[in-house]
Amino acid sequence: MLGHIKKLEIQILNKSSFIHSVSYKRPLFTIILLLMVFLLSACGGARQAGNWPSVSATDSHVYVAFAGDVVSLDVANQKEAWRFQGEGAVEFYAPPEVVPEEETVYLADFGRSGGILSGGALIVSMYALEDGTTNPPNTRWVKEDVIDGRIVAGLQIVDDLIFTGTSNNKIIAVSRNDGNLIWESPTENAIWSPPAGLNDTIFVTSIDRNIYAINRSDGSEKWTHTLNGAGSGSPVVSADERLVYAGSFGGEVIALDVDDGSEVWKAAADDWVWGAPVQIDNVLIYGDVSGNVYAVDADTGASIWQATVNDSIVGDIVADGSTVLVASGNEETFVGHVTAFSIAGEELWETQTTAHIQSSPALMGDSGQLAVVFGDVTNDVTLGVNIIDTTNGSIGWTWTLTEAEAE
Amino acid sequence: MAIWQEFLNLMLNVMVGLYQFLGGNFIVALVTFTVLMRLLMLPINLRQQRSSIKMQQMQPQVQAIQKKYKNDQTKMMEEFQKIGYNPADSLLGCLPLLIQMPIFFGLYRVINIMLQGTPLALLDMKFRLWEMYDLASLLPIDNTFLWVNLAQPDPFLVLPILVAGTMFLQQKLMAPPTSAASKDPKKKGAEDDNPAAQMQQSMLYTMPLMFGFFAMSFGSGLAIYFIISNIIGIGQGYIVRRNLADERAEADRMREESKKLAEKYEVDDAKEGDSSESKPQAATSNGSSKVSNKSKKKKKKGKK
Repeated sequence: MLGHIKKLEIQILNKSSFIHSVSYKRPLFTIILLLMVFLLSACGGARQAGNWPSVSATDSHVYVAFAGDVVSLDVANQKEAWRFQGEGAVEFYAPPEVVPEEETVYLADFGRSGGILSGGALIVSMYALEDGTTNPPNTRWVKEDVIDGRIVAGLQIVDDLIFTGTSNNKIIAVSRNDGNLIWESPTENAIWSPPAGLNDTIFVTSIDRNIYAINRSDGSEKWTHTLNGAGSGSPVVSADERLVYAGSFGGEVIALDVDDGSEVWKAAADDWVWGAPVQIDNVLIYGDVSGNVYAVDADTGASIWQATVNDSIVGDIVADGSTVLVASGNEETFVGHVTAFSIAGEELWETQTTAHIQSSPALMGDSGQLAVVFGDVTNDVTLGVNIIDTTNGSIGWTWTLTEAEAE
Repeated sequence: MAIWQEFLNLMLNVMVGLYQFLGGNFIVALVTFTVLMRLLMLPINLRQQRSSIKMQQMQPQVQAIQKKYKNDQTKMMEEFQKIGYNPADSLLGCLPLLIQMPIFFGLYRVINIMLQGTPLALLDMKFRLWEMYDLASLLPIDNTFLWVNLAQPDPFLVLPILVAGTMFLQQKLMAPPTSAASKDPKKKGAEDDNPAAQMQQSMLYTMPLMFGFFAMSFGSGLAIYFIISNIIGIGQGYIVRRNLADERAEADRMREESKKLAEKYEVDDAKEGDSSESKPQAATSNGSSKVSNKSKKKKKKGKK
């Protein structure tokens, strides 16, 4: 057997056979094939458009990250303030983090292929952009060599540090001043949501089914707690700073002691709990992928009320004062809704959005407006933003991406 | 599009099923999936290999017929029929590759969906899976193998090189064996005039190059699929070559007969050329006659 293989190897590597097999009489076919090689290989550098858009907001502006662009919308004047486009085939999935007092927007991207010559190396960047009137915005700093994993999770800024998680299983802290890496802490799988901070601790959920409590200053682990399923939404620290809440794909929300990670209570859901819950007074509200909304006692986990919305709840639940706002979307019909409930569970209003909603909505400060990003480039459904009045559900302004921009 | 989505759902559910029933190891599931795909493709691959050998053996005769009846397509097809040659069979060589293309594109999507590069991919998977699966209990799907993240390209280029190398070996073994005649540099020109052989030779080098580049750009999971598939192909090619040894001997005998018949066509051609020299369309006939004379000279040289 080995002898035969050896003979075959010799035959294949035989120099004269090689020379004879390369004929100069077939250049056209070879050129066509080589062209195919480079054209098809170029697909590796193309945008993947593999996630939904995301949105964040201040009192006056809304920031949308989708495919290769990040757009700032001036809501009062109903116009696009600026647009930032990443280099090459880069994509943005994480919502921008805005610091209004210093007029800066922080971003991280999903990475881009370095191309054939780099051996397909992944380049992930973090940005600090000037949030002014210049279009495109001035860049305060860009760091390309700090992060080696794609960013889906948003950013959490505490003092001089920016915290986030990567798709290659790391929690990282970088300097807000220059983007330099301060520390990184390993997890066992990807992180898809921004951490929550409390004093010297940050809390992160991971697809690896764990919630991590990490020392903010050096990235050392304080405790971990294993959930009954993968964790996708951000943890939420209770108003009294005693508990941390986290949902999981195991269909439950758990409350843990912030100091040692011990379980205080847990409450069930019928399906995956994807987004983060929200606390209003002593009520914790969360939703599941089947469209169920649950309200439980924030201290004990005892059920208070339950309701249902039309579609899947994948984003975070948000609250404007005592109004609970739930964004939902249907992946098949591409229909989306925002539904408002009172703290007592009464449905206040429901608004159909222009298309389906997949990501978390963003409350525009105290302005009484909610920004939802609808549609997606992946399914060729018109992408845009609805600005919704949180008191009655009316849509004040709709910004959409033109077909040309979508391409 | 609906058919494609159904095909994708089927592939995804098969992969998830393999992952669940084979201990939650993505690589084991991928290897099993690849073996299943190769088994499904086996009859077509074997038929293609046999057909390639047969076609190669017939080439001298086919070329002679093509040359003789280049202006009479009907007669050419009649002659092809007489010797049992179907030009459409030459397309069979591309068939395994064409059939693999949907599997290749489907698997690319399945790997991306399964390895949860993004939340959207996971949500997509949740809605595509049959109800018999409890996806939450399968998460997280381990996306690492040795030094690579299966959803991302290999940063050290080991896998792309292995893809190109194994594909070259496979192509070399799956190609029809080089005949003794083609190894003779003096007769090499005849092989070069054969477009099927030219295509095969070009593909021998460009396909590994192309798939090597693919592997540099796409997730390592797909590169591993290619490597496993190619290794199976190499084994299959090796075994088929051994088993077809007798058939090759028979085919070589046919080839010799085919050559004799080809020579007969050329002699007939030369006679027709000589008889038409006196006719007004001398330019064409003279050209044909020159070719025949040249071939006669070549034969004499060969004898010397």
